[in-house]
Amino acid sequence: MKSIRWFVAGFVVMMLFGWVIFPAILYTHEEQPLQFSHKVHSGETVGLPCQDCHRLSADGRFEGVPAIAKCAECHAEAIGSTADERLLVEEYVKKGREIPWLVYARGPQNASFPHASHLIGAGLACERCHGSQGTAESLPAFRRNRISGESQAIWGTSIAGFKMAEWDGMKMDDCARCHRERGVANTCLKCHK
Amino acid sequence: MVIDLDRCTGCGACVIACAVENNVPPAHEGTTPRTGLTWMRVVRVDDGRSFPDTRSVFVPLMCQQCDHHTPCVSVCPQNAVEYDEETGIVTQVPVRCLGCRYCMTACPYHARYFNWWDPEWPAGMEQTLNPDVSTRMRGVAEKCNFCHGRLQAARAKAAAGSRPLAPDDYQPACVEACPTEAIVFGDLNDPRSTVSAAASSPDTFRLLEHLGTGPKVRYRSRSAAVRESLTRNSVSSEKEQVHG
Amino acid sequence: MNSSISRRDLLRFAGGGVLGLLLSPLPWKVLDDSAIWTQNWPWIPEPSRGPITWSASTCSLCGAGCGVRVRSSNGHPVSLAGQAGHPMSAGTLCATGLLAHHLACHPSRVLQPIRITNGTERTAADMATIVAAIHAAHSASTSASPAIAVIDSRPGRAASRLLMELAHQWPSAAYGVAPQAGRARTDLIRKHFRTAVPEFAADIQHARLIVSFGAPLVDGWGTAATARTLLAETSAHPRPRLIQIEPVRSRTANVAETWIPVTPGTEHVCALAIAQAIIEGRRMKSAVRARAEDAAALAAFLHDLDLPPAVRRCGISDARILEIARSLSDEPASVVVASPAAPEEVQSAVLLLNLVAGTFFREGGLRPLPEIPGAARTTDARTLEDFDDHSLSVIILDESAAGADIPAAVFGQKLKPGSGIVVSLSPFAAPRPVPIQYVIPAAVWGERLTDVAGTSPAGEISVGLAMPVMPARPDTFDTAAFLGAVTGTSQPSTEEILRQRIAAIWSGRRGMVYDPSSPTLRPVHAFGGTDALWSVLQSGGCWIDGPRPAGSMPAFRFLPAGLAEHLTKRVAATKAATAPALALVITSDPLRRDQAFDATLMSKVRDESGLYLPCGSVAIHPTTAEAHNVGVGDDATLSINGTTLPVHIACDSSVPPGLVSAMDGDGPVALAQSKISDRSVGSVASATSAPSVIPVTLWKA
Repeated sequence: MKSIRWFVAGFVVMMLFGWVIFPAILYTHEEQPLQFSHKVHSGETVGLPCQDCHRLSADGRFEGVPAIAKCAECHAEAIGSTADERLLVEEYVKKGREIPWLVYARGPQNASFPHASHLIGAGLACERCHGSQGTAESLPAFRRNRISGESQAIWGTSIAGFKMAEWDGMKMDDCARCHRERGVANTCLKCHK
Repeated sequence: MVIDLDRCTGCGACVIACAVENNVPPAHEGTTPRTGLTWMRVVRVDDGRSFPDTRSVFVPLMCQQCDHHTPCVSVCPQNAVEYDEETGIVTQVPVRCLGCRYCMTACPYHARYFNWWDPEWPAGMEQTLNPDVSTRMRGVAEKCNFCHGRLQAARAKAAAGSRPLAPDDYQPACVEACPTEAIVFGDLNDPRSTVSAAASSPDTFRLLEHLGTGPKVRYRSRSAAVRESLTRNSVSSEKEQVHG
Repeated sequence: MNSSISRRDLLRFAGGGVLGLLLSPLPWKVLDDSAIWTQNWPWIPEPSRGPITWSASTCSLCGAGCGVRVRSSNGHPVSLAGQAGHPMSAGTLCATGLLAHHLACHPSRVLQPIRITNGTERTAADMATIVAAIHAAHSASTSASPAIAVIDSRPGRAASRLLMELAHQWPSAAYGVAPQAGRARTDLIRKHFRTAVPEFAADIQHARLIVSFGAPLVDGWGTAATARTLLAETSAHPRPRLIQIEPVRSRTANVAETWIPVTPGTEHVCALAIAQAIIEGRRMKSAVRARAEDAAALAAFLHDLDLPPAVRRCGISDARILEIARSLSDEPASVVVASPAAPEEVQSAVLLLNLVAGTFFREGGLRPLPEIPGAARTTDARTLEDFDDHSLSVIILDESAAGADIPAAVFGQKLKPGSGIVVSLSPFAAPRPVPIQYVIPAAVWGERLTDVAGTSPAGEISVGLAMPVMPARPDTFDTAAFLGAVTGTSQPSTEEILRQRIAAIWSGRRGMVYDPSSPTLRPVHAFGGTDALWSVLQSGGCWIDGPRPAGSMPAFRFLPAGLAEHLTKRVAATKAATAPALALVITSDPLRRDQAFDATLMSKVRDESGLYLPCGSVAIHPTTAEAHNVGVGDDATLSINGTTLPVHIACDSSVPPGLVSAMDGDGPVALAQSKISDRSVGSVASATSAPSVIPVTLWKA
């Protein structure tokens, strides 16, 4: 009995380490430079359409994160008195500096993702890959993989690689699966650059 | 692609435009023509006669985009080289490359290059890198892919306009840079295209035609001697002399 | 119970741990992430991400005035291309121009004032010290001759006017220009006419026959559009006939319909022989003879020269000369051009041939250039050579725009021995033979507003603006800012003087304006005023004015004072010369026209492919190599007038036996990396007294 006990103890300890502690230390926990509520901007309070900030330009490039000039259109002066609002106006808008957002969905430099082909060409909804960001109250912490340096959103929230939702995880396998299902070419340079 | 050798002055604008477009780094200390990275290079070919009868022609040389029996595709143990059925372009994914250089040995045109060093740019020059092309690393092979970054951008633009990609939507950097318009680029499968017309001219030939690799890069020259020589003989460059 | 832990227990624990670990995601995830890490090494730079924008500007690296389309990412230029409809460059850019945006981060870039001692040692210098040195020279100057020379590397810019004004304000200072081939030729032309004539340019665009004495027509003659003009073939524009008379098979000779290898140093004899063949064949046009004051004298002069023995040295058959003479007189749209680097007797003989063939004031011939309204007249300005020997305390070189190289020896000759200093306003400080003590950092292309005045292959002139397309480095100067710092007074900014120039163009109402946004060419008078013109030029457009209306040929002399004597002497020298066993021929490197800088990526056409003969290499015929016991790739020693240089040997069977072919220019990248000595074959050769034939000796190192 005793012999099994030690074996089980080792097993349990390492299982716990691999499943619980390892994921906690694998990813960093970085706060965004300031808080932002999609819900306030797109919901009833302001009511901006998503395209107001996240535009697809005529040449097919996706302008994902709006420039500070876009924020300045409304936030030339502080609206409200939160600390983040003050930070936005004083540090970024007035100084004309871009906000160093940590972009959750940014892929590695050797892959390209033409938004135009997917949104217009394939008719996919933004939520298909990004989830329902548009209704989020606040920005979650950005979690970067300490080994690969990529955002956690690429691998997905489950450490085992199980998809918790359709949009959870956008690995090469996920891209390839969708391409296969839709009969789109899966050649390397279709996505790699 | 059809290249008119009678119009090439050997100015090198295409070589430079190619390197700028594809984020090819400047020469590392100690680089020679054998170890350099030039997805496109212009080689002077002499007819072997002596002064004053020497006739030379400048041959812009890049991946010939072989059609069938593509030698580099068949030897790659990593599947890092692919034949794209849609465009006919032979593509290469450097991140998948193992660095064995079988493909370089297999290529009869010596159009493949190897990163002997990590790429280095003078301080500040990384700001001038083309965002549409990723940088490579030491130990991988690379080659011309008809300006793949431009193809992807053209695809995105076409998609944004809800239309299919048209052959005129993009031109590789060398075609755009050539001051004498010696390079014509387009869809060889479209019989009405300018490039098809140029390709069907009797002056047009392919390098090392007898190998049967069916290159999609064609050359033309009014000189029968040039056609004869280049169809049969390997284009002599310093790189090749070293390769033997 | 025994509570101690046995070794066996530990092993059991480890075994369970390994199994647990394997059933956890840890090993698999670490493997996967490490694989991703190896694909994106952190030390390899990544291209920046950001919005892509397009803008239009003008290239200012040389004076050709090409239109540039700039693609920027995140506000920084990432690639350049030609502007398709641009009237000067027709969508072309040369290899050097394609890399203009890389010059801002060149390894030789200077970003603060530096002092150079012993030719190579660089230390940070204080701007105040340099200004004080200039002021000391200014206040100490007492004699009538100037103590400060302000040398303009590219006259004709708006900033040139500021440099001239400094010379006006300070009696101790005088304005001078870098040597210009075009200016020397204009001086030669003017001697033939009694009335004032403007500058002339060859109308390559409309010429049907071009006889070229070594002119690099496809290789740096104006914009790269010249090469297109010569090689393009459409039904509307058939390919012009090009006869290239040049000792070695240059790039231009390679695409010419006919290449005639001529013995180096006999080009003037060849041109005179063609002129004589036209006259003796009674092919001189009556219109030409009617305007000439001394047609009979010319015929007698050419006869007295007794050319045939000299012609035999040219290596060109009489039949060839007759054929060229016949073609030149039969083809109305024909022109004869010479390399800008050719010696004076060749320039004079070629001008004489043009006069005999009647190419002046003709479409497709030599056409008079219009003047740029508001431009300061610099045609009469002196060059550094014209100053008194050992008279200058300070030479201020404005090299903020690259221009012609001044031979290094001239500096020592003009400076006061021991105390004279040279201050250069330049973006770069690569080692060079010129004795420069101080370098003031200048802005490069794309950092600050400058203007470019160019000439097209059709003999048109243009003015374009090079716009800032990247942030200016804080401590760099343009000419206006530099002069402000030197004089301590507020100078008009570059923008103000440029606006004055545009105002002059507007008030002249001449010419057309190219608007890249439409793209259209509209007459100046169709614009609302200076502001409208200014905004089009700011958006990358240019003002262009065609050649002056042909008009009629004014009366002229074939043989102005001194020409007959000069040519007689040179022809006699050719007859008397014994051909050297080995002679050097220098071809100018088109990618390094003037002092235009090699960007680092130029290694692609030099070190990495050998497309251009690398600096330090010479090409010889295999038989010459054999005779001198050297082979391909060998290191050898070349002796030029007693100066020895290490060279690499390249074999080229198109080089005539007995000649050594080398490229001009040091190749600044190689210099910066100290790969070769600062004495290039070209710089040593240019210091020799007889530039036409340079005898050399060669032996294996």
